[in-house]
Amino acid sequence: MTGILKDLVRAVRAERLKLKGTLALWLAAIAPAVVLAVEALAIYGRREYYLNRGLADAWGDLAMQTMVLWCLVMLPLFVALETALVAQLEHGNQQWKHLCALPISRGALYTAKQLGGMALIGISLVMLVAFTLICGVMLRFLIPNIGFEASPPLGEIGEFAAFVFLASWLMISIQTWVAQRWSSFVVASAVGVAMTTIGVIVIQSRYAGYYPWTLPILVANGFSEYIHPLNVLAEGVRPVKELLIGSVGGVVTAVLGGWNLTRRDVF
Amino acid sequence: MNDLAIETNGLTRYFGELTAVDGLDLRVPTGSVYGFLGPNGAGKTTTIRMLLGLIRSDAGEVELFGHPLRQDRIACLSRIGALVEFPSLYPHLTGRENLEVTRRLTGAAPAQIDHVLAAVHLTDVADRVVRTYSTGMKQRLALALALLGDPQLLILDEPTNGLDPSGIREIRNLVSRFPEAYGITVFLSSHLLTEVEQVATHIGIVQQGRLCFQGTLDALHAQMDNHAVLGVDQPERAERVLRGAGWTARRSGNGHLSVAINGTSDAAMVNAHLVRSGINVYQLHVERPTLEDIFLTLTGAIGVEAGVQHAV
Repeated sequence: MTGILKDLVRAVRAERLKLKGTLALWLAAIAPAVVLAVEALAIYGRREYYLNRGLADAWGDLAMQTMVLWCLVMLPLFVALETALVAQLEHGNQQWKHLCALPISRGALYTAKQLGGMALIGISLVMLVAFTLICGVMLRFLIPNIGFEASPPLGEIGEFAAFVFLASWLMISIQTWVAQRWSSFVVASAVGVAMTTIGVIVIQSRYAGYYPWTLPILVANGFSEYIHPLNVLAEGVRPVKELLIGSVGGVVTAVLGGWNLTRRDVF
Repeated sequence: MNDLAIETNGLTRYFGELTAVDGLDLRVPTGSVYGFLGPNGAGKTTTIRMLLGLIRSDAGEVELFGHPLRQDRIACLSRIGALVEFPSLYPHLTGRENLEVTRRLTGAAPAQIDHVLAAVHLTDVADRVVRTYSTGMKQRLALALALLGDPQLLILDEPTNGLDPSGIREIRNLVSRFPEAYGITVFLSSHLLTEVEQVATHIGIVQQGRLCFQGTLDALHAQMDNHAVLGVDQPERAERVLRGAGWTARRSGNGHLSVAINGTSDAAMVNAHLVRSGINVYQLHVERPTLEDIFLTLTGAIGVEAGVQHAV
């Protein structure tokens, strides 16, 4: 194993231990649970509508509505919060001066931070998929005959979540850089709130496809147009531009952010 | 083995218009406990951050064990343990887990955790979360973190910050036995001069970013004369008599006389002179200047124009 890769493996293993029992880790499970609880309550409250509609693509509806709700309401603020919490592990007790005085490359330390933030967002999406399945099974018993008797399209829902994750990458990288660059929790949170608020306006413009904080909702929405039936996804109808900007932009921003952070003085 | 654990040449750092560190030429011998002293804002912490590669120098070089830090950062840091100002700990993890984080990052052997816990007497509380630790325990855990990886050089910046007297004594006892027990060179920055005096073999004094003394503790003491402190029945007359004979004498607040002397024979001569002049001497003892006296003299009187006094 080369030196840099070995450093990265060490840094990631250390990062995993640091996250143990943290609010950041708990939030990765709690936030999706809240969204699914809201979604389940909404469906249960409108059970007459769903019963009258007859058999439909209940799993597709649930997956689509959940992901749109997640991307629209929760994800941008969740990313800001998670990346800030991960960064505060080091800023809170001035850990950087200890970490950067260790015989390990700074690039590995910052890359591990980026991966830590991404892992938390990834875990939250996995939890979102898991809770979607649990929610559907619960609704199968609570409101029989509205379509949840069918097998859940696990592959399609997973693919849906994966693409939303890729589209979020640029936003995660920017928020990670902000949270690491400025030690104040307020700065990282304020940037997240401000960018999310601006996103509400941008989403209605033709620039939405280039704005990091609206890319995930565009991807979720793009899928939602073709989600009935879900297997249409397999025919290649995908918001490719948004996915590319989100994922490639995420990688480029992470590299530039890491380059900037490794060259900064540590006080 | 390299004779110098730390060598800096012309180390300089500016913050805007302020010259925080100005052409510092440190020489820290291997195996020494080097006390790095200076008033607040003298540039001690900035120097330490440059020694660890945390901040860049604007000029000058740092060599650790003969290797240039700029070109060989990872290799240099692998021989160093550091505690900079306050302990950097994760309060939600246990003491052992805090050590495990650093162990994973450095690749040290797992057995070292128990070893360093024992060295700082924290074995019994190793599995408690750090947020329940006292300040002294946190400071000792930070020392344990610095000891992971068997460092050859320990850089400690104000390791007794915020500690009560018993905590200070505990850290002092730990630090003083590092060179002998583990063969570690210690570079110790502190503003607690009496603490440094008890453990240091070498001293560097920095003032406004520049070294105003560097050398052994004995050489530092030799910079200043001893004083004979006398109890006499006629202090005013005694002062006049001694001054008339060419001695530097002054009365202290408690009526005693303090006379600058060069050795104990001078003290006997002062005594004889006073007795011959009809002045009764009922008390006489020789005082060695404390590190605090010397520090205050050097940092207060020498000023920035003075050159460094090397006495290695």
